[in-house]
Amino acid sequence: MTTDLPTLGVGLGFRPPFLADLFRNRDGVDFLEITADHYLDVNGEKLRELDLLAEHFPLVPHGLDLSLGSAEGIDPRYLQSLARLVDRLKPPWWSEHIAFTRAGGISIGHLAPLPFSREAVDVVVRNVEVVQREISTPLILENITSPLIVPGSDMEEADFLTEVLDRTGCGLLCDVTNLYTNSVNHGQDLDHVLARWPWDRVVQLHLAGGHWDDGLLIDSHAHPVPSEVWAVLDRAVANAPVRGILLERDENLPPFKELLADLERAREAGRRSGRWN
Amino acid sequence: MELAVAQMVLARLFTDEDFRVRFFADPIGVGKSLGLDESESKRLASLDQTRVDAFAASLYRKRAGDVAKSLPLTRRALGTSYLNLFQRFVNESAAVGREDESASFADYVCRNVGSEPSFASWLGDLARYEVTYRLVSARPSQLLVIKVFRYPVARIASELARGGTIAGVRSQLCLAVWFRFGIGRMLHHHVLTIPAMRRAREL
Repeated sequence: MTTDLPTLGVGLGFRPPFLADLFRNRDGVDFLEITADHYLDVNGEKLRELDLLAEHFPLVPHGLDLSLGSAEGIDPRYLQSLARLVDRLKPPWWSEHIAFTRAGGISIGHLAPLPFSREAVDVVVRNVEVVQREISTPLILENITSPLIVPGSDMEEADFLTEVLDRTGCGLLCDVTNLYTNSVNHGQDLDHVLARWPWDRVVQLHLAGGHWDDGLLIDSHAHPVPSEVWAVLDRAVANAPVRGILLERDENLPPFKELLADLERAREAGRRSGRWN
Repeated sequence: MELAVAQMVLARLFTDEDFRVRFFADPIGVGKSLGLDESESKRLASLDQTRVDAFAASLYRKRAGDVAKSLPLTRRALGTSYLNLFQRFVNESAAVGREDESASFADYVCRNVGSEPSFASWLGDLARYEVTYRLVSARPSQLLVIKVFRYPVARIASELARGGTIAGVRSQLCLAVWFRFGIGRMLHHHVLTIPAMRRAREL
């Protein structure tokens, strides 16, 4: 159960361009999240990179393409590769998204949204059960951002998540940027969303910065975290038994000290709410 | 409507521009061809088309960005032509999604741009050289790969990597060799020019 999980502190999504800075500033980074897909079935240099990271940081694998929301089920070969990676790293938990990335023989190439429906809950629960039979390490599930609300939705996202988490026993990786972005793009009342959110199931938080594009807020991981998202983060940390906060930055990489400053701000938020010392 | 059917249609809407245009122009007709009844088609057509277009555009930008990251020198050599060429590649190929598209894009560059005066004649060789280097690096079980190029690709690649511009490149046969002394061992690489063959061609 998620209540037994250790506290990791604040971390970064690992990106090779800041490898050297990372090792020069090890004290400021408590853990790393690695993109699992970059290390599936690799050997040689990528494995050495992984082992080097694992020697110095707790690592949490973060999957992209398991497609837990696919009605056609899980790709068993992908799952086996993922299971080998998780087994190698023996992390405290690992994470995936509540989304689908494959359907009808098409690999979409990104996280596509599910309808917030009973049928979709059943599909995710069924797929998570398959995954949990292969990987016993606790799985936490992440809420995604999407410009679309898929037809067929008959409940709110918060209720959908709560039902999935209740039935699977998984924790929540709450991406506060995604939560905020969806509320803006779908014209939802943020306070209403926050009031219904399953905070008690949160294990880890993600935060990142996005940008506006043609009237839509895009979660691009390419800009500084905006004040509105920091405000959501503060509320999340106050409400949820957070064990880790992770900053994602993929593009327009700033000087590393700016990332460290963000991590320190997140660390302080955790301290204020008594999540860690 | 079953979720599996809805996801199949959504996956095509997100990745196939022609299908997207046809579906929103005639959702019932296109839906019928997919086995959807009228209410199912209408329900999917209630999607906000602008948002579907935005989502599809973000997927396209991600694909183009991923390939550019995998082939940074080819991307640099193409300059502002890159996105146009990538769009042509997408329109003319069936490849979609997260699978590594850099090899198929390099193959497309090789097959298509060599004879076009708007592109440098060595561009196809550069793309093939760069993708080969990348693939061999990622496959530690590959012990020996040999490729022949019509242009001095190593010199072009090194100049581009330094941020330089490429001008006045003449055809020069080269043999590029990648090898390891065992599975998982360090990758070695050499490019040999072939002067005898160059002389023969010049004659």
